[in-house]
Amino acid sequence: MVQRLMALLFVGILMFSANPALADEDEEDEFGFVEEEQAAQEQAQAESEDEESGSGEMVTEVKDPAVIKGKVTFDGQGPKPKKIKMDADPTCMVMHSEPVFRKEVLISEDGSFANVFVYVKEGLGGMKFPKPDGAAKFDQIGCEYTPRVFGVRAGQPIEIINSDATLHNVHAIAKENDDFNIGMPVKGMKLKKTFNKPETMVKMVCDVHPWMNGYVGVMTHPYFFTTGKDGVFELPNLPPGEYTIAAWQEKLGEITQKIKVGPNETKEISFVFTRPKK
Amino acid sequence: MLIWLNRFAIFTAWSTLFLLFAGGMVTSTSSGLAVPDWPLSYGMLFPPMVGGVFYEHGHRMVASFVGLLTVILCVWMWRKEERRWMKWLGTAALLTVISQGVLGGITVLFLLPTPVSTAHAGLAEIFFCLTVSIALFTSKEWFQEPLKIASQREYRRFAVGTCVILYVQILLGALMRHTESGLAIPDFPLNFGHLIPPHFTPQIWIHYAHRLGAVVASITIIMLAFKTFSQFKRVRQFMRPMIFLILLLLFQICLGGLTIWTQKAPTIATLHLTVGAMMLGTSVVLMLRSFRHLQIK
Repeated sequence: MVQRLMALLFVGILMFSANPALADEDEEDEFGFVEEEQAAQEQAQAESEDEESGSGEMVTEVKDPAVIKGKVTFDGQGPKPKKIKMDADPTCMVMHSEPVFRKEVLISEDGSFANVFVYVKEGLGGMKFPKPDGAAKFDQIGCEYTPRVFGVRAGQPIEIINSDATLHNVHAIAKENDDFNIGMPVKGMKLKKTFNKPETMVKMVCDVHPWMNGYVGVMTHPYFFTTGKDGVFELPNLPPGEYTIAAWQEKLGEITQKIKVGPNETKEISFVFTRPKK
Repeated sequence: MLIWLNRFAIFTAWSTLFLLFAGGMVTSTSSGLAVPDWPLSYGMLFPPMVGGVFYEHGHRMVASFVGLLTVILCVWMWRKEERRWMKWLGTAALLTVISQGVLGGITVLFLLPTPVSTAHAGLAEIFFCLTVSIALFTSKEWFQEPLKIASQREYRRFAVGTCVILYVQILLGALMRHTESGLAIPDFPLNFGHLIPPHFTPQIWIHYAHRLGAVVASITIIMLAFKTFSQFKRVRQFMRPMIFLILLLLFQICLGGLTIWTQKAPTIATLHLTVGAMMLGTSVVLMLRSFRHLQIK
């Protein structure tokens, strides 16, 4: 009998191990519809925290605004993009006619670096800025996050959408804000969540599809930008002053530069990432 | 003797071992939060088994099956077992599996806090040992006269010590898995090319403690083997589990190394966990037999 049970156990182990899901993913890699009311409460809490904490002036209009713009590039040969195996979920597979590649490091042929989050790290002092009215959108399309890297204002709601005909869970891994893990099993499902404290960056993952990673920069000000394929960024309408500008990339970390801009001045800077030394 | 009860208890113990493997695969594939709700899964009894849901919901299904087996085992023991303590042992197993289910739910709802996840892993091993014990206590061996072999108290102490050391080692392994310390030391058998890691972080400490624990457990098993081979050479009740334990130890050391060399390949890492549980179960059999058959001088 013991031999038969051992054979059964072995077959069971084989069945569990043979599932293609996740098996070769790199190391580098309550259930619930969140009601609008809850999102509104979170936003109200953020606003009240903001009023209590901030002693600086509210900047409704910037006088003699300056602009900092530039480009983010990668120097050298970037890593070869890895193909995502979507076998774990046939619904994800049929949504793509072409192979899908991992997007941790997106470098164009000319070295332009996409999905780099550029923001003002220091220099704004206690200045406060009015919050935008709308919610930032964070969609799940084709079993990928769109956008993958983006910024929001602390207290600004994020509308999370499931555009896929498969289930996703949205799991936020934060240090300063509260973590959450919510199931989105139905296509077209939307929910709103709010991060109330500034944080660079909150990681969003789908534990159903381990290749799905997203990053949210939660800012106290409106001066942030996520680069596209051309690597270009622009931080307009800045009060004249001296700033530390940071460029954050999910695999390579953050690099910073100090820059001073005068009234109505436009200055260009560039960020160059390189392969990390071993 | 209730032969079918014994067969059912053996089946429950093996099913529990498979449950440990299924649970291990959840952690190895980072699927612990693929189903965010509990006790339902995405509000359903049976969600689509895609991606990480296959592992997490699969684990819940195997756990429900083992829970059902335990309920049947407990009711069966209360109806047919004449030994009162056995009825209560069945009840203890049932309460343990219920607690384990609740602990599993808590760890999901609270986003895998390390103490809860580690406790879930630790209680799983205790439940497995209970099912192994019930299988042994319902066997023919326990209804026959004890062998009454004259022995020193030392052997029994060693058998108990082996169980304790293996359990602590398993807890260290669980802590290592749930603190993402599995590759904190990336090489094997050395540690960053040294016997002692040249630098320490909390994760390296946990990982290194598990490696030291492996050395202590190996030495203890080898010493127990020497004692078994010298004292009970012709007693199959001791020799069989002892030989099995040594074979498991050799396999386990290989799996430990492979876990590092394959960068924690999910199946390898989970087999390492499963063989660890088998070693604990085997040492529990040896310990229980030392209490049953040895007459201390």
